[in-house]
Amino acid sequence: MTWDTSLLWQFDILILLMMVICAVTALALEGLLSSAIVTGAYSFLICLMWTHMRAVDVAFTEAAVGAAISTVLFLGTAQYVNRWIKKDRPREQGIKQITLVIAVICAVMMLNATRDLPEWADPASPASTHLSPRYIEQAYFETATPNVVTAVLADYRSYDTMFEAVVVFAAALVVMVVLRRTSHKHRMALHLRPKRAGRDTVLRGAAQSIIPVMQIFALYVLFHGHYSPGGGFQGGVIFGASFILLALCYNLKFSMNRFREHAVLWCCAGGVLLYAGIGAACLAMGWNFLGYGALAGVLGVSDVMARSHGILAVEIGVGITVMAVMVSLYNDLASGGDLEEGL
Amino acid sequence: MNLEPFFIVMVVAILFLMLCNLYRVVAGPTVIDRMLGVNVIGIKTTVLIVLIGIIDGRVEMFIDITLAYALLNFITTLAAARFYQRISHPAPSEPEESLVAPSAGPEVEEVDAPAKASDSSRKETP
Repeated sequence: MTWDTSLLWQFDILILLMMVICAVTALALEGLLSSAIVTGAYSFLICLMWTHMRAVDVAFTEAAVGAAISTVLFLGTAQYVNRWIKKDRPREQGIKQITLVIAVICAVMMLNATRDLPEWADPASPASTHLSPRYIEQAYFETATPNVVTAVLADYRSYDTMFEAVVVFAAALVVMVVLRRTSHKHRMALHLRPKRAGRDTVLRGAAQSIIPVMQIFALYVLFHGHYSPGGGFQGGVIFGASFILLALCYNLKFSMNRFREHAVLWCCAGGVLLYAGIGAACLAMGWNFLGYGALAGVLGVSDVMARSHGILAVEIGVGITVMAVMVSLYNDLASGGDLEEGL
Repeated sequence: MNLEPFFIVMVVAILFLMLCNLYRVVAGPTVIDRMLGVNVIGIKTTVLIVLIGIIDGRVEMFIDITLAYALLNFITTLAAARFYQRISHPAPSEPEESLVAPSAGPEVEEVDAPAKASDSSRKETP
């Protein structure tokens, strides 16, 4: 065990050091492409950090979102924006120095406050004494779900998860409302976008062989969330990433022929509707909103198994919404809103 | 035989190798250097997660994360390469005719027929 504790701080120090280097580099680089790439490295490192803290579900989410979605969305947006550094404006320099001073003061205050935080993995800390023991001891007997994180996420805290799904849905709506304008002026702003050349034979062959595997893996992650890390959100992100890969290897028109615009929108709303509908069905049968025990009579199983099935159903709803929202975000952001051509 | 010290030494060694990649990411004069550096960091992350799982004795909890990375890691690199291609090479006016790969056989063109149709419909884009 001495080995393990010695690993702990070496590992932590090295990864935190690399994360700071990545963050500073991403800010200091002028090209947006370079910045987005360095942000990708940051995402890998923070996933390692969470893996090391054994927060496996969080690490999985970071793996799916960081490796597949976030950098692609950054790059899609970076096509249409630019950044430059003004060096010869004394007034702005003064404001920047004031900002720096305020940031340093805030950092000192927050670092000072960290001394009051409990030690990492301290069994006497408030987080591990109040509610966690009940979840860890009772979750399996109450919901028949071995993965406590899934049980907490989709059963005990299912209100939170429902509104997370609503937030994801709202994000797609907002991006659509802001970007979907096909006025003449907007199209002129996009005229610098050159067409893609070449046939990409290798890429298309690779896409044909890897996309089915990716989609089956996404379904596995979604349905195996009761027993291993994963669940609706991660599975949905991986499923959506398969369509983004299709758009990257062929083009946006091709992927939108496979997964049409109105199907994307139906899936966006349908997932949230499925989640809320299950809650409303429980309410209609005289239980609490999202009290899955109400489904026992309909499904013909015990209360405990009904909660397990209810968790699966809402995870499917989350997965559908997240998958469609990821595709919709990519379509809108990478094409600048006109859905003509993506990244 | 207790292999745990071996795995821990390996973890630390891979971390130091990652630091070398990070140097290329930070200092790399061109964008291509940075893309390659981040891609290699991603591959090392995959290996490290498996190693942490082995040290924990619960590889099955970690193997899904590494599978996700292995499947998804190159999407970012691909998007960055597309972006780079776009900003560095303005496209010719007739992409279909001018840039057919010499090694591509005739049957490949039939496979690409739907994509070709969408290519031709793309021409209306200003």
